[in-house]
Amino acid sequence: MAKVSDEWVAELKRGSIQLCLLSLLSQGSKYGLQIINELRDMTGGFFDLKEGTLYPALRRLEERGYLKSEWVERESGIPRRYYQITEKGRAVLSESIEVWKEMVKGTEAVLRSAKK
Amino acid sequence: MNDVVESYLAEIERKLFWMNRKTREDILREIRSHLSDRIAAGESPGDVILSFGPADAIAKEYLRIYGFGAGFVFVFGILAIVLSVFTVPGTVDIASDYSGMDWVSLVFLLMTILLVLFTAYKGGRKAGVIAGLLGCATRFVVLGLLVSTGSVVIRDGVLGALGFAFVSIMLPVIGYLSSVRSYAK
Repeated sequence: MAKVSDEWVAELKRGSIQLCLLSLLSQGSKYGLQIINELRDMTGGFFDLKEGTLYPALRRLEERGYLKSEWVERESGIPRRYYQITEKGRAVLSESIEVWKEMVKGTEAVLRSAKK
Repeated sequence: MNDVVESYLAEIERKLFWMNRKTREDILREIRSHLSDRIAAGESPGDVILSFGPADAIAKEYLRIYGFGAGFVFVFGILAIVLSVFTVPGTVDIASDYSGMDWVSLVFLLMTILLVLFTAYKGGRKAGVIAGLLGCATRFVVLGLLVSTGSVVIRDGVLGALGFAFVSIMLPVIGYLSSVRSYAK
């Protein structure tokens, strides 16, 4: 991994972040910090999202109608904004998972042919 | 909260000046909630802010998503209308009582194009297209009025009219194409 720059890795990861967010939020409503922590824990640290990436990404998904959000008050502290998948988001997710599987299959077939 | 945090939030708020007020407040509240959660968990405010990222970059990301608020779309739309009145050849002569002022119309046309570019760049695709459409419509209305009252005649016949129409239609097209906003909402 030594010669691979952070930017390059970030670029490789970018395409799958939205899909991961939709999957995670299909389980129930979650707030930003929770999403960051859960993604990091689930992937053994591979998806360690920066806040500056996560929050705008959530907003984009919301603007597209794939997520909805609501403020939840709590006993102490500032309320949290919880995100949740919409029906439209669910439909997009299940379709995207199929695309993803095809993509992985296709990419792996090509990668196997690589000469190292 | 902490002074460092407050000034960080204030900087983002300033950079989101162009945005709809409600959305801006909502974004700031969300960031504030996140920062305070991490600080409450024992992290230092400086580290937490550093991890969130530079205010400038954060604000740019959000502006890309939401673009101008309705107030700024309105202001820039009005500006587009006012400027594009004088892009119609003949209007400057009438307004200034001098003749041969059509070169000023070209200057106004340039300003209108720059305005549409700026609106689209800063305010998003929707704002850019609205400014361009208003400019385009104004040009046709003003020309129509001038021709029907006999104040101007279209020079160069069909070619002149086609050129005028082409330039007019290009305004919303410029607004559409020059938006960096990834969501054509």
